[in-house]
Formats: sequence, structure tokens, C-alpha cells
Amino acid sequence: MDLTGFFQALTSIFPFLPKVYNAVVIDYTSLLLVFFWFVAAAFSFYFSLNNSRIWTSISIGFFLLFWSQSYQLNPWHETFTVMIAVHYMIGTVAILVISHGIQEYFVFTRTLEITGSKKTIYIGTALILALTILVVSVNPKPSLYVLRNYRMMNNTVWFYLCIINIYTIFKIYKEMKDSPIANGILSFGLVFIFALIWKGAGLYLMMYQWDKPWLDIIEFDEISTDIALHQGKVDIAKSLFKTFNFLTSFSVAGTFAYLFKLLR
Amino acid sequence: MFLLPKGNPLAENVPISKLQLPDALDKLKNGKLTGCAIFDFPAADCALVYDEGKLVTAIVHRDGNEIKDQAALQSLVELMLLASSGTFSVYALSKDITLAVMALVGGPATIDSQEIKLIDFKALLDRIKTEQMTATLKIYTPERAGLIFYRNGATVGFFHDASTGIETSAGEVQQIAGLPGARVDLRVLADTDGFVLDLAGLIDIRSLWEASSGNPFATPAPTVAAPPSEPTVPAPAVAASTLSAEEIETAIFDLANRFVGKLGRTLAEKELMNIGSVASLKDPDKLQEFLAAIEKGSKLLASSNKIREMKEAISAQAAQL
Repeated sequence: MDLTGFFQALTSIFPFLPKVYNAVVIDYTSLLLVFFWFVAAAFSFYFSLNNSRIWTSISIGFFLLFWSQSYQLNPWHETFTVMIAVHYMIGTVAILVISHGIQEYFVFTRTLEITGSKKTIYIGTALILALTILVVSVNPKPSLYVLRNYRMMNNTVWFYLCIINIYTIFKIYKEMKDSPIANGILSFGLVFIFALIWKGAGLYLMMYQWDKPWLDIIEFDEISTDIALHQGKVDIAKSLFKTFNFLTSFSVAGTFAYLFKLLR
Repeated sequence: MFLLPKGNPLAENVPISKLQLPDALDKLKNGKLTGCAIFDFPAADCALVYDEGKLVTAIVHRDGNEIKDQAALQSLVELMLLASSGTFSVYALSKDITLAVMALVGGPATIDSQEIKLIDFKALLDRIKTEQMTATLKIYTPERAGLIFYRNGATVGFFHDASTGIETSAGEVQQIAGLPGARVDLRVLADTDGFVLDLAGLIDIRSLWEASSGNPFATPAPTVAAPPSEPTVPAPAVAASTLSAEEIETAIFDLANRFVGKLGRTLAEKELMNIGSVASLKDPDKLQEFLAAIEKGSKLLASSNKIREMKEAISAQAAQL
């Protein structure tokens, strides 16, 4: 979808925005992925209304995910490197907050106690994000190397938290197998399995320096790479990354739609 | 020919000599059976129809007579103790088929033993569809019998005397309809606005069994309460005068289990302990506190509709205190 005209019009209305010289073409797949994250955020926000703070954690997490995913659609996202770093951190905080919600859900299934206030979650998340922005701001403007490190941290945190979340979700399911929404909870497990493969594939490429950011860096620094010797593995990993990126966002929207049906 | 469908077999042809009736019925209740339990005696048949553990219909065919409901349960106890042999089978059925079987066993006969050739069969099928009947159409000859099950006017299954399970095509049943002398019965489920009477709550099978086992010539124990005159009266209200606080407590836990699952039961137990005891629910404020606490926890486990139904059912139980 060619949005060059739209963004050029925006820059004429808001002079502080950088000028758009290149064509701004957003592919439909990216839009669809962001739409799925939006659906997840909207449903989880709906569930969090008049409900315990468990859903508040999950809702905030998916909202932050939607924010970090949608940020990549804007044509200026590569202009401000500080903002790229901040948005990788937002994506990392998102999975932390979601995981916190899932852990609280598990504690609830074992104790049937719901304690703590939603305000704590809102304020706590805001503070963590503020701290993140502060840390990124007070440090030197991130180079391409540093941005890659932020991305690697994001992939690593996601990878390990997905493993923990899958295990916790299955334990939650075991406790509430006969509840009306048990299958909805199980669907969440599937979402995290897809996310594990998605982020795992990305992490694998980064660990062995076969990822695009690294290849872009070394193109100008004349550093060599052994990617040609392992092209098969790289292609498989890239394919897994792309496929499971789509499956994760699709399944998360589907899971929330299914939960909406079960919780009505 | 008395024909009942065979769904997913949970027990088949278990000799009745191995059976303690009260324990067997408790297992069916606690296992939340939706389907039917069939007792086959040399000179009688009995069928019990369950819907999520509630005994909704009981029927006995004995000596050419048909006995229903409480009298059927009493008759069943006698048959179990006096018959020399017999078998017991349990089949799980889907909710749709079970409702149609309830119509077959307990529903009024809208059409009774009409010859197919003498009626407008197509018009009958259209009527079932337009009036959205939940019913069973029984088509039979002296040698063969077939059943067509309907839920809200839509066909949900077929069964005939040679079937091993619920079928999805009408082929064999249609053939029976084409046989000379084929007759048809239409039994429709009465509209009870969703309230289902639990026969097991009306008659104390265990006392009846124990009394009858001790002295086969003794008068059976009297039933707990008379049945309601209208099917729309909820079951708990009928037996109100005889339910103790413990029974109401158990009923509340069972309701929480039914609507929300095992965690719902545990939640109800915990919240009841927090407010004191089941007797505390006599106080409207305590009752509201209890319901609010259960609702808060149940929101993470069930839909708002189920929670609302559960609260209404618990309120109805608490009203009997």
C-alpha cells in the first residue's frame, strides 16, 4: 500500500516531522499483523474492565506489544535511533508484564485469592517504561551495534519467558480443566509455542550473526561472514521467523476472539 | 418394541447381581451423566434418562404396563431385588439426543400409533420443523423399529434396532417407514423453560433400597415429597421443607461445580468459610457478600452468563434456609 502521499501531506502540516523523500510502501502483511495485535489488545482491555488485576497485567502487556509492533509501520521509525531502542525495550517490558499476569493467574488457580490493586500494575509499568526511556536517553545515541544488542535482548527475554509461560499455562489448564474457559487458556499455550519458535528463530540468527542487522553492519565495515556456508540453516531460520511471526499474531487474535466467545 | 438409543457405551451388560443400585445411581449423578441407563430384566425393562447428572425421566415397562417417574424408581428397586437375572448398561449421549430421548420416554404422545399410510407424513415432518419441536419420531412395525431425534425442529440423529450407535443418515429408518403396516409415534418434549426436575431428589433411593433389602415384604419407605403439579416449578422449591442446612450447602457447592468447575466448588467452599457457615446466608447482606466474592473469582473461570445463572441458582437454594 503506497502511503507516500499521506505522509508527505503530514510533513507539510507538521513541519517538525522529517521530510519524506523515499516512497512509503507498507505491505499488507505488516498491516494485517499489526491489526491482529490491535485485536488482541482491544479484547484484553475489554476483559480487564470490571475484572481482577490479572487481566490488567495481560491487557497492558498486549497493548505495549501492539504499540511496539505498530511503531515499525511509521516511515520515520529508523530515523530516531533512540526511539528504536525504546521500542525494543517496550516490547521486552510487554512480555514481562504479560508473564506477570500469567503467573498471577496460576497463583489464583492454586489459592483462589486475588490480591493487589490494578493501580499498582499501571503505575509499576509506567515507572519501568519511564526508567527505560531514561536509561536510553542518558546514554550515547545507539549505534547500529547497540540497536542490535537491544534487539537481541528482546529476543532472549521473549524466548525464555515463552518457555516459562508455556509451562505455567499448562499447569493452569490442569487446575481448571473442567472450567468453561479452559480451552481458551489452552489456546494461549499455543500462542506462546508459536512465539517461542518466532523469537527463537530470530535469536538463533542473531547468535550466529546471520541476521539482517548484522549483515547490514558488516557491509560497510568489511567484516567477513560465513553465511554462505550455512545458507540452508539460515533460510530455514528465516522462514520459521517469518511464518511464526504471522502465526503468533494470528493465533493471539484468534485466541482472544475465542475467549470473548467463552466469557460472554 | 421399546427402543432406546445406544450412544457412547460407558458400561454394557453388567450383571445386576454385581450392582448396588444406590451406589450406581450416585456414580451416574456425580459423573454428570448425560445419556441413559438401561436395566434389562427377563420380564421388564427400565430406562433412566440423565441430563448432566440429573435424573430427568424414569420409565419401566412391566407386564405390558408403562410406569413412570417415582413409581418407576420404586418398581426398579423391586425388580433389582426380586429378579433372578438382568443386565445394566449406560450410554452417554449428546445433549441434543438426550433431550429428544426425554421426549420419547416422558413426553406426551402428540401422535400415537398412527399408520404412516393414513397420515400426511411429509406434513408431519414439516410441522416438526416449523413448530421447532424437540421430539422423537418413532417409526415401527411389529418386527422393526427406528427413531428420528429432533432438537428445535432440526434432525440431530437417527437410530434403529440394528444400530450400534447414533447414526447421521436416515436410510435404514426410511426403509422401516416403507414396510407394510408401519406406524408412527411422535413424542414431544414439554416446554419447561429450562427447569428440569431431578427425580433422584424426590425419592430417597438409598432408604428405599435398604428398607426393601432388609425385608422384601416390608412396605417401601415413603417418598420425600410429592411431585410438583407444573413442570415449570424449580426442583429445589419442591423439596424445600425437607432440605437441611448441610444439604443446602452441598447443593450450593454442586451448583458452583456445575457452572464453574472444580475450582468453582473450591471457591464456594472457601468463601462460605469466610462468611461463617451456610446458616449465615439467611442474612441478605451476607448472601450478597458471598455471591460477590464468588463472582469475583468466577470471572476468571467462566462466562458472565454462567456466573449469573449460578448466582440465581445459589440464591434460590439459600432462600430455603
